[in-house]
Amino acid sequence: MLDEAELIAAAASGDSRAFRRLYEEHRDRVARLAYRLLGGHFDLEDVVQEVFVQAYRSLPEFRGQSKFGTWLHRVTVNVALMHRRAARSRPVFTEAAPDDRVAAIHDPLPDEDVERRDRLRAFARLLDRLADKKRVVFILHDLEGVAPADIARIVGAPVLTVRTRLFYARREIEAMLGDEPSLAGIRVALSKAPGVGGA
Amino acid sequence: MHEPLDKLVQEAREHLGTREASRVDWPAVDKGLFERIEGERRSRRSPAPVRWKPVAVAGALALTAAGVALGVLGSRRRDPVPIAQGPSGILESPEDLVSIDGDGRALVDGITRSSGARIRVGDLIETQLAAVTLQRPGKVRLTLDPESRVRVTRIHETLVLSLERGAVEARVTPVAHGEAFAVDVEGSRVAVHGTYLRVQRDDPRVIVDLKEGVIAIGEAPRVGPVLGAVVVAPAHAEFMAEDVLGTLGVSHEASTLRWPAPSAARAPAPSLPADEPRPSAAPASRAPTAASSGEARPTSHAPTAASSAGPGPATTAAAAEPDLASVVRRCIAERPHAENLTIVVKTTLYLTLGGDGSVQSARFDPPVAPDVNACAAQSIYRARFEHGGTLAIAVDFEN
Repeated sequence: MLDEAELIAAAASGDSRAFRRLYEEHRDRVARLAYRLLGGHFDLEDVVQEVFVQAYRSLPEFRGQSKFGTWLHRVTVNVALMHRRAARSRPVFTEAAPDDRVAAIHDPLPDEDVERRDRLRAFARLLDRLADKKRVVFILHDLEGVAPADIARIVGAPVLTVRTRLFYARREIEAMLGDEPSLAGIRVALSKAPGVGGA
Repeated sequence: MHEPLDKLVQEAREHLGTREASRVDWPAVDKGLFERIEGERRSRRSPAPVRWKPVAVAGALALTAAGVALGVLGSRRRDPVPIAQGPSGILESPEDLVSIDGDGRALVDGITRSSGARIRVGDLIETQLAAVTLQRPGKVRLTLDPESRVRVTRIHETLVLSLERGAVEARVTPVAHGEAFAVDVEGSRVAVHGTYLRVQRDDPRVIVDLKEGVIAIGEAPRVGPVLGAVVVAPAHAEFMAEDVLGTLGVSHEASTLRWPAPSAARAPAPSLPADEPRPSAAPASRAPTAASSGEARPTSHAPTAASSAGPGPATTAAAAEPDLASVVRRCIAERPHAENLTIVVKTTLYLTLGGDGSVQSARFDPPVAPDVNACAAQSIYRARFEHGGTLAIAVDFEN
């Protein structure tokens, strides 16, 4: 049984079975991160496939200076941002079905889950309103649990910059909470908390 | 952070995207991903794809037009693959059969292939002076213009060609679902459900002429159908490959269609330059071709060692290699250049030889300057070998 370092070395030298093992090991996390970065506006399969194609191409350049998972995060972030940039310059030809309608067809859920789903959708919309740099840092740190030093490597910025972006991302999210009815209660609670001006 | 927001973030950490990630159609991703990877692996094994620059194209076409170019060999040579067995043990469905049809011949990864030769994902197909027809029985029949080059990036279900040079004309049997055929140019895609169309690369533009049916034009997706502009025949569309939807223009005036009339050069021809009369002592008198701007012509600094009229006596490959390599080096050395400039050239001359040992086609990879092409072409034409087949001659030059 090869460990990850051996799999990476084998995959980098063209062993597609080793690459498949890496892919199978990491694909769920990549898909989740891609969804978090992009929301539901993109073909997730398309994005994930592109991430692993890029990873395959770049694997020979992976020097093991960071964890493979961190490196893959970086590839995912780059592919996701590329998709967002491409989408911004692309006219919309068809109107996508609203998320709620799609979900209603596929997800008969208990009330509690429906409320949570609505909260998460609202939260995702807030994330979507953040600038790319702040959104990426916030998602990597607060949702993915990546350390600031690793985020700095992923986004190619100093750790201090990462922390600054994180600070402003949180502040903007707090400020936007009132825009989402399902999250308004959180904003009210925050405004009553000591030291919070309700900005 | 504050507690209520902390709770929301904690909830998002646990649940945001997890449901969606669990719903990913992994078999579809697996299939598309490893098909692409296999294609790239095969591409890496075949001669390095050349990003053609205008000068390089002119140079390479010069040899092609003069009836000299193309071939492969040595360690790069790829033996014909049995039809029933795909590379790397990949099972190939009979429905995935794509092959060369008719009398035309094309270079597939640098090797001349003729009717019946199977085409696979990753193959680089190049035509020379004659058009070549490919077919997927009952589904797609397409013609590559002379001097075109495509790479096959997908075969299963949708046949996808990446158009690197020239033009593709296709007649596609309508399919109930999905896309039967697609042509990619850089990041753009013209996807076909069933129609009669022509896609031409005219860098930096892509020109699409649609005679019948409906197509979709948009950015090339990794999986799934193209989400883009739907174009209904008759139509003439043009766009820039790098920004397809931002630059797409469509005209439905039938008069705008640019459908070249069939000609001897375009029609699938029974022969490639291989069957043309061999170049005589005066190559410049050869019939002009579409690539005349870069055609090999005699120059004043033609190498003398092999410039006598007519093919020389047959020689062994081992003997010919240093001769031709030295001719090419001399051609490079005789180019005007600043005295204090160090020039380093590393290229390989690929030759395809006829059964009688004559040179049927040749090309440099990477390409060399047009005047070097023209200079070397004369000697290459006259070379004669003891056996047919293919040959690669490494040329290293440093002044």
